[in-house]
Amino acid sequence: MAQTEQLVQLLIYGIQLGVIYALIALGYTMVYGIINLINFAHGDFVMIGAFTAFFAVNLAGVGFFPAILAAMLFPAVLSIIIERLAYRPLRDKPRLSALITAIGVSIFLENFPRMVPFIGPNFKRFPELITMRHFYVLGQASINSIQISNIVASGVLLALLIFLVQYTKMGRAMRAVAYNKDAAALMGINVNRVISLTFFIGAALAGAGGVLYSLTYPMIDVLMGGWLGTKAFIAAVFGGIGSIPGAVLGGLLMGIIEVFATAVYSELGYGSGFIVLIFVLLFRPSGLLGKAPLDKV
Amino acid sequence: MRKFLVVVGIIAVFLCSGAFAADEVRIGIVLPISGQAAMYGAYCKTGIELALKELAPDNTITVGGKKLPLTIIYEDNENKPEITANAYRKLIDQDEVTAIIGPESSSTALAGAPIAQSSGIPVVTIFPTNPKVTQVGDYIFRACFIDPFQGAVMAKYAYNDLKVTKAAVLYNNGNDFSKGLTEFFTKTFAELGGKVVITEAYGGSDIRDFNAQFNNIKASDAQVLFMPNTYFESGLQMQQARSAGITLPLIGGDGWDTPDLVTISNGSEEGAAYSCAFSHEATTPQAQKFVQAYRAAYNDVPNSNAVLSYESLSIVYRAIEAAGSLDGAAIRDAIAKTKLELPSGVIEFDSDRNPKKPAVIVMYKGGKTSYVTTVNP
Amino acid sequence: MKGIKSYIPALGLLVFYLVCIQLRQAGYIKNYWIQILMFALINAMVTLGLYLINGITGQFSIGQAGFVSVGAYSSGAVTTLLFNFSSLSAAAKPIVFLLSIAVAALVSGFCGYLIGRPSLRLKGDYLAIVTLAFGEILRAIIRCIPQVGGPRGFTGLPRYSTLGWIIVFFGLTVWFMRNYIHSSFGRACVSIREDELASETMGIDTTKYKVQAFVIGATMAGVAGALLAHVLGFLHPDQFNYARSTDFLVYLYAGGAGTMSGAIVGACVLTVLPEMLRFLAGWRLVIYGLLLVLMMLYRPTGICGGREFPFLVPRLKRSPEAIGGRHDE
Repeated sequence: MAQTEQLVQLLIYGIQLGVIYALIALGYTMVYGIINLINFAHGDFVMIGAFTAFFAVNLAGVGFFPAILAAMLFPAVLSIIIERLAYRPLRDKPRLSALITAIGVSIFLENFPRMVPFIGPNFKRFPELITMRHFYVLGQASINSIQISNIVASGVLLALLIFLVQYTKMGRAMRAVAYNKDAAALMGINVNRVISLTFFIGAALAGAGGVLYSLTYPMIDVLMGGWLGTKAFIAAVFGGIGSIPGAVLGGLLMGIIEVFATAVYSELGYGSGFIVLIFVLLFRPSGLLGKAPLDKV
Repeated sequence: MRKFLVVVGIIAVFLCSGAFAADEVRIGIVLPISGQAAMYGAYCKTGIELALKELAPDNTITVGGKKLPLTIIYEDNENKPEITANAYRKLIDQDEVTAIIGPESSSTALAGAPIAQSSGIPVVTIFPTNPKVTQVGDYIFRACFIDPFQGAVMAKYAYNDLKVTKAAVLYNNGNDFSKGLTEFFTKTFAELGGKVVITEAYGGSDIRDFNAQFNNIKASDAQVLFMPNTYFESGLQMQQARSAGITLPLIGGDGWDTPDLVTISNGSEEGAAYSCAFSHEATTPQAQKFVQAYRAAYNDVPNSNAVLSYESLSIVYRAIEAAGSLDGAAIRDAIAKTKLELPSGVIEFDSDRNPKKPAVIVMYKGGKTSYVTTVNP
Repeated sequence: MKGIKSYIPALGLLVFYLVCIQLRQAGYIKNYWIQILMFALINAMVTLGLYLINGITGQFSIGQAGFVSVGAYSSGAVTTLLFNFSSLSAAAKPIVFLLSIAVAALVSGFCGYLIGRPSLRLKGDYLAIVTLAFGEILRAIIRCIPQVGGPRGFTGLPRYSTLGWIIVFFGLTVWFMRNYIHSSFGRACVSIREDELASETMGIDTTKYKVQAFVIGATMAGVAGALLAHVLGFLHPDQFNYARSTDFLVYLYAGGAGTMSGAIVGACVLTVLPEMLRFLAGWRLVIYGLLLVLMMLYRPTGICGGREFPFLVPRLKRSPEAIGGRHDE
């Protein structure tokens, strides 16, 4: 393959990985933007989404769209319940107490399904919902139907999210709460409901990310969300935590950097993504698109 | 003060809970029951349970003419070194076990083995392939192959049977087994006259995307692709390799030896060959008996984990009987003298406490494994 | 609350050690529990280092396991690669062992400087990510060093750390932390936590203190790592991954990030708890996760709830609330 073809091919691989990071990073960034909580359990909603789709397809025999819808709804509802039980009581307590409950929730979510007989610790094959076809874009460089559907589905979800946040009343309420919770409450905004909604949307995106990820890499297990979630969290910080465009950019860049670094030197490919991250943060201490925090005196 | 007393009370109860009746044989089994490697633990458990059902259906063992009750104590090690050290300590100090079986991986075995060695408790580890494990001391045995042997077997298979001279390797540089096999494959392949033209790595079992590596491998002039990785990693890799347009023959190690690989690779494993200790097509009566019993109990084909843990318990059980006492040194000597007909052949230990047994090469055909050839050490 | 004379806690530790040894010899305590105690104290040392960075100085580091790995591997390199420990004479062993701990302290302290220095520009979660990334980079590098076994693990380390050694270093750590926190250095760190801008206005060199906190915290983790390496006799890079760093974070905040007692109690309780839950087999981690959530819900300020053991407060100092209190941004 010629040099440019190689580059195009790697870029396609990078974007394919990056859009999934971006979807998951959005959930981190939204929750963080509203209640300043790093939701360590967020990655596990990816896993729950993937399993929901797995069972929806294997037991009910549904197709791609119902499966992804189910995979968005179930984790979303679950996340509202978890927020109500484990995070809300701690909202006025030291910020990091909620972080520890989030870690506890994550340990629980990763280990409980393992003990459920029909899930168990084994890897499972994710069903093929999209027929694999290759399209040649430039010489030998190709893109396949799953990669296209990943990019399209993420694009649609992102457009929906931006519409929701920027152009609806609820979105305005979310932005108001993110800016100042107390002032928003005084303006008659139901802060609790807005926070629940944020968790709902974040987990729904994670669930969708879980389905797209499992379509691309058709293998699921109860621990799949842990490392993926950490990667997405890094992507969110990389782009500037709290910023929605930042999460998307951060996710995409993470995916692309990872693929290129691996192609250049695979022995350290895994560490090199982190090295780039550190250098970027040294020059842009609030991430790529994050706002520098204002110091109040 | 009251709270303090309650806490002290709870701790005291736990400290005393280790008291057991004296006339009893206890064997400790250390396995990953939770954590990332839990499925291996589950497979090992099936092998242990089957062996127990055959050897001691009434949960007894005859030691020196006396029939003693036998208790099996499972301990979880989460596949972590520190937790393994704790599990070993608990089994040795609190449960006062006679022998230990497990753990399943090299990195955990290396953390537990020194404790057993210094306490004089014989251990048969199940699946740690690093040669250093049994070098810890004379109480430490293993049931599986060591990396140098298996790496060499696959290099010979590639060079002599596939008749190729240029190989590519994709391995997990966070995994000891994968790294070990890669090292010894590369070495032996070079000694035979071949050359590993490209070695690509990835950084751990969490990695799902190998496209960048396959892109490089595709651009190389390799004639065979060696992927000495765990079954789930390899299942995904086979699929991605085929999807990326790599048509090279695929070869691997006994990490592939489980029927689960096919559920993930979904057809892309066709023609892939690997080495393992045991083929379920083996015709020896022991092997057939084992496969049938396993199928009857679990409705599945036994994988390497099940076979090796079955053999581990058989070795220990027979050795305790042969030793005729519960003395650690006597059992150690009995294990060293083991000569048992087991599913994967007649098992004997060499002076490094590794089993002397041949490797079989099997190939995936139509979603099932079929026997190709046997390679002797 | 008034403090007590500083030799009393030291005597207490000595008595504790002697009691443990006596009970072990009499057979009341099994080596199993001694080993768990050793792990608990080592974890407590790491958590104390994290307490200085997160609890006192108000930074947010989530890569503490990286510093532990640096200490563990560098001390292991000294005892195993530089000297052939098992062939040394009995008199030389403690010297080489101490030397290895000193090397571990230096190297990990230097890493603390490396990470603390550039991180000055970063705040909150950005800093957190850099520390996490640093730990993971270290792990990736260790895997590529064949001399320490790479991914196959570092074997053959002498199992030389005993409860005695660990108690001595634990005592030193606690003693040092207590004095540091209540010195002008410690108060400067607290002021940075409370309001960085204001403390800078008051003439506090915030750069210096933040770097200092990182260096000291990393040094403690390194020493603990050196001790750990010589308890286990074996090291594997995956022992020090991001999940392990999260463990230390949990120890600190579940114990109570406001006080040293919280760090120590949190580390000890949460090291012992999973061992006590062994009888649950596969349900162990499920229950552990639930207990963690319940504990934080019913005691959001941690087990110690911002209180300090009296012996951790030097005499003639005012109430510990000056140091504890707000441990949030």
